Amino acid sequence: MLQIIICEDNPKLLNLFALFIKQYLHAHQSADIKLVLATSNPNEIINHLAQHKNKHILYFLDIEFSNSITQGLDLAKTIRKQALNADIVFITSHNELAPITFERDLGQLDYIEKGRGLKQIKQLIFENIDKLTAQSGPQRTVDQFHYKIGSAIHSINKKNIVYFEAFSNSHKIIIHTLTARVEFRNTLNNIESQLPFFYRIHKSLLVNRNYVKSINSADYQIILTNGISLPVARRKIANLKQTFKAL
Amino acid sequence: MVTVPQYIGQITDLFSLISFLVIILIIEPKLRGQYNIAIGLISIVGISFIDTIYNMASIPLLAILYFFLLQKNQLTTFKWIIDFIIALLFTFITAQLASNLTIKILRLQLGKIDRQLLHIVILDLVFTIVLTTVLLIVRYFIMKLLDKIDIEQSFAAAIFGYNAVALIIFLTLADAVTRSIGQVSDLMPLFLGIFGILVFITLFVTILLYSQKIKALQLSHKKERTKDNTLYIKELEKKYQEARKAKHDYKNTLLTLQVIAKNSKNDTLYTNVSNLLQSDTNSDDNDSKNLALQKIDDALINGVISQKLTEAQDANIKTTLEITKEIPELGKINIIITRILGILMDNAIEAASDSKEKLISVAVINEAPAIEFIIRNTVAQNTDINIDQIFEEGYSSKGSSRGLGLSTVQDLISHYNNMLISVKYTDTFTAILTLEDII
Repeated sequence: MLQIIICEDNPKLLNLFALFIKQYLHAHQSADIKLVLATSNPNEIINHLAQHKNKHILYFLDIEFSNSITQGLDLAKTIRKQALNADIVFITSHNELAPITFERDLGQLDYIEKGRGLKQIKQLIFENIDKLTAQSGPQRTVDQFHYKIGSAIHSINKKNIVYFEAFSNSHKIIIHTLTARVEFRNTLNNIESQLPFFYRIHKSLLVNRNYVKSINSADYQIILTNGISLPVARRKIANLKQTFKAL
Repeated sequence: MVTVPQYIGQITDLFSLISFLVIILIIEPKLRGQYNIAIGLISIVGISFIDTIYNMASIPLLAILYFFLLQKNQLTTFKWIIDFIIALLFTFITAQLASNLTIKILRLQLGKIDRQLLHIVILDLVFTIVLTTVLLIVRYFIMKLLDKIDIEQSFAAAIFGYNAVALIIFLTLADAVTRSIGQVSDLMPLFLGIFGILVFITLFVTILLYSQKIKALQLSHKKERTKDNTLYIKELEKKYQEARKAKHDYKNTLLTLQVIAKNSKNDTLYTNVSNLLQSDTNSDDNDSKNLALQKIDDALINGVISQKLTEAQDANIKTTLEITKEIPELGKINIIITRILGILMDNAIEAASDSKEKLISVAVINEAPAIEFIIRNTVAQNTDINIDQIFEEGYSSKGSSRGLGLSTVQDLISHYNNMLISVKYTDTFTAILTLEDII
C-alpha cells in the first residue's frame, strides 16, 4: 500500500492539496493508496514515521514554515535518514533555491512551484502519484544496486545497468546504462559477487545478460541490444555461448 | 696563507683543495658523479703542481675548475654560485684555523721548522679534517633549523650567500692585514676569524627574526581580511534571506487569494491573480549568484564558473548556481579541475543554446570528504546522444568539435584516482565531476 502525507503550514492550501489528492483517489478507486495524514505540524509527521518505518510513503512537503525557512528541508532529511522507502515531493515557492542540491540529497520525485498556479499544482501532484503507482511496491529496494561516490550512497535499479567496465590503471568502475555513465571506486570482483545475473566476459567487463543480443565467436565479440559491441576473453567464449543458448 | 716556508704552504694548500672538493660534493648532491669526482681529483693534482711554480695561483684555478670543468647538472646558476662561495668560505676558514692552530701548538718559530715537518703535516691534516667536519655539521643544523621554521629556500640561500661573501672579504682583508703587519700577527687572524663568524651569526639571526615577523604580520592581516569578508557575506545573506521570506509570504498570500477567487467563482479575480503569480520576476537571481560565488575561495575555480556563467547569460541562457558550503582552496589540482569545468561548461552552453528552454544549472556541493561539481543543461528535443561513446575521441552529437573536449576530460581524469565523472541524459543532460578524499 502507498501512504500519502501532506505537510503545509498554510491551512487553506493544506485543505486544497488534500482535496486534490482525494480527487485523485476518487478517480483511481482500485489503486491501493491512502491519504493518511494532512497536517501543518512537522512533528506529527515524525511521530507517524516512527510507527510506520517500513511502509512506502509519499510525502508532499512545503519547505518554508512560519518559524523557519528550512524546516521543510530538515524534515525531509530526517525522513530520508529514517526510511529508505520514502518519496518526497516539495511544494514550494522557492523556485530559485538549490533544486540540484535537494535532488542529490533527498532524491525527491519532483519539485512543484507554487508560482505556477493551482491548475499546474494539481496536475503535478497527480503525475507524481501516477509515477509511483507505476513502480511495483515491495520489489523496489531489492532490485537496487548501491554504490558510493564521495560521502553519498546512490542506488540504481539493476535492470537498468547494461554493463560495468573497470579502468585498467586504477580502481575505478564505470556503470553503463542506456541513459547514464557513472564512475565510482570499487573492484569488478567485488561487484561480480553481488550480481549473480551478470556475466564476466572479460577481465574488465561485467555484462547484464538481459542486454546481450548476440555473440560473435569468430571475432570474440559480444553485441548488446543498444548496438555496442564488447570484446570477450578467448577462454570464456565457449562457456558464454552455452550459457546463452540455455537462456 | 700563513707565512711558513713554501713547501709546507704547498702541503697545506693541497689539504685545502681536497677539503674544498669534499665540501662541495657534500653540500651539493647534484654535483656528485663519477665525472666530477675524477675531474676534481685530476685537477687538484694539476693545481698543486702549478701552485708550486706560481704561489697563490690555486684560488683562481679553483674557480676555473669549478665553473668551467665540473658539470653543472641541473643546478640553477644562482645556487651554483652560492655553493661555490660557501665551499670556498669553509675551505678558507679551515685552512686558516688549521695552520694557525698548528703553529700555535708546536710553538713554531719561522725559519726553524725543518725538524718538525712530519708533525706539522699530520697536525695540519687532522685540524683540516676536524674543522671541516665541524663546519659541515653546523651547516647541517642550520639547514635543519631553516627547514623547521619554513623559510623560503631561495631566500635562505640568498642570506647564506651574501653573508658568506661578506665573511670571505673580511677574512681575506684580515689575512692581508696580518701579512703586511708581519710578526705581531700571531693571534690576529684567529680573533678576526672568530669576530667574522660572530658577525655572520648575528646578521643571520636578525634576518631570520625579521622574516618571521613579516610572515606573522601577513598572516594576521589575511586573517582579519577573511573575517571582514565573512561578516560582510553573512550580513548580505541575512538580508537576502529576509527578502526571500517576504517574497514567499506574498506568494502564499496570492495563492490563497486564488483559492478564494476560485471558491467564490470570481473568474476575473482568478485570472488576474494567476497572471500576478506568473509575472514573478527573477530580479534577485543575480544577487543570489554573486553571493554563491563568494563561497568559492579557490580563485581559479571561482573564475572559470563565473566567466562561463556570464558567457551563458550573454548567449541568452538562463543560469542558476547553487553552493551550499564554502569551497576551500584546492591546491595545485585546481588547474585540472578548471580545465575540466571549462570544457563541461562549454559543452553545456553549446547544447543549451540549441534548446528551447535554454537553462544551465550549476551546483557545487562540498560534503566531506568530497566535492561535487554538477552541471545540468537543457538539450534540444530529439537530440540523439549515445552516452556510451560520448567520451571517445572523435565522438560528437553534432560536428567534430564537441567529442574532442570530452575525450580530453577523460584523459585528464584518468590520471587521478580520486577524480570521478558521471554523465546522465534523460530530458536534460547532467555532468557530475566528483573530487574525493579532500582533506
